[in-house]
Amino acid sequence: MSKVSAIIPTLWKAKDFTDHLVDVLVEDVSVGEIIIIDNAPTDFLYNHDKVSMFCLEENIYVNPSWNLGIDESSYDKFIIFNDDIIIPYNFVSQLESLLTSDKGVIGIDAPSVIKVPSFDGENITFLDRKIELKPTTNRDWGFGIAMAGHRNSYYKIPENIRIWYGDDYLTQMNNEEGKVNYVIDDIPIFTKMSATSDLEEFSEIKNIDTLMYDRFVKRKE
Amino acid sequence: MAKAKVKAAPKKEITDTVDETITREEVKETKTEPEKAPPTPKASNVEKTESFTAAFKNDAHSAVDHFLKHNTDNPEEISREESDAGDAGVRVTLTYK
Repeated sequence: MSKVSAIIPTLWKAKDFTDHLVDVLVEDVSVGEIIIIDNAPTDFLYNHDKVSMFCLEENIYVNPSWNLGIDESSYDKFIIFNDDIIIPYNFVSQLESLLTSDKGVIGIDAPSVIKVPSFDGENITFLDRKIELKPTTNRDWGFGIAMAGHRNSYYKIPENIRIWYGDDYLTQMNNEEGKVNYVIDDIPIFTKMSATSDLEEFSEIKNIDTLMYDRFVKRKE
Repeated sequence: MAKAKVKAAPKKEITDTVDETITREEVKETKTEPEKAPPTPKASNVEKTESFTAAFKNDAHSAVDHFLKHNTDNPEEISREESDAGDAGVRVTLTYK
């Protein structure tokens, strides 16, 4: 059976969300492995044989974490998660057959992203229907909070784009390869959005990322 | 529950081996069994909230109106609630689907 590598970079800013996310993925038979890129190690480890934790000496930031997770993954299909989201049980199982090499990357539709102030057990659900995809030409808000695809649709993100624009880069690279990117239609994803990336300490990196991504886009024009 | 599988990181900038000071803890047990969780609703049927803050009440409501008018997903307004935002003025919280 084909399986999916799940990749979660984390700084543990929303641990109750992350704990539940890992639990959902442990329970999902289509998830072959869960790779946690731990950018702020403490004495905590998830104790399950599906879980690999990469405890880093310093924060390498989110886009390099995605690259590392893909490098270390064992399966042809991947899904990358923000650490502060609630997905339904069975989400990856419903998605797995759609992760084919002829598609670009598959993200979340902006209207399906539901911001919540804190973790709430009432938002825990079981996905008992098929996932439908909508083609998209633009990378809209919320796209990259959960992003999946075939390994052939992942392009290593340049090291100088560290936190923002990783999903822009992947969608653009797939567009250039003639692949269509998609969003998942009408499945609610709850999030304590930007629990990490809104931190003041990252504002300077945002400026650099913007500059570097602009240069990348201009080189392509 | 099986033991955690901890891989040594392969890159120069990350640890070569797992820090020996790290101890293993049990993962939190599932609070909700998957099959007992309620079925996932459509996102379009889930109520959402968005807050808009402005110095004057009318401006906060105008921001809500703008959000509703220019959102291509045609959100349906459920309710609005005003609250005090302190020095920032008035906060209007929109609930919509």
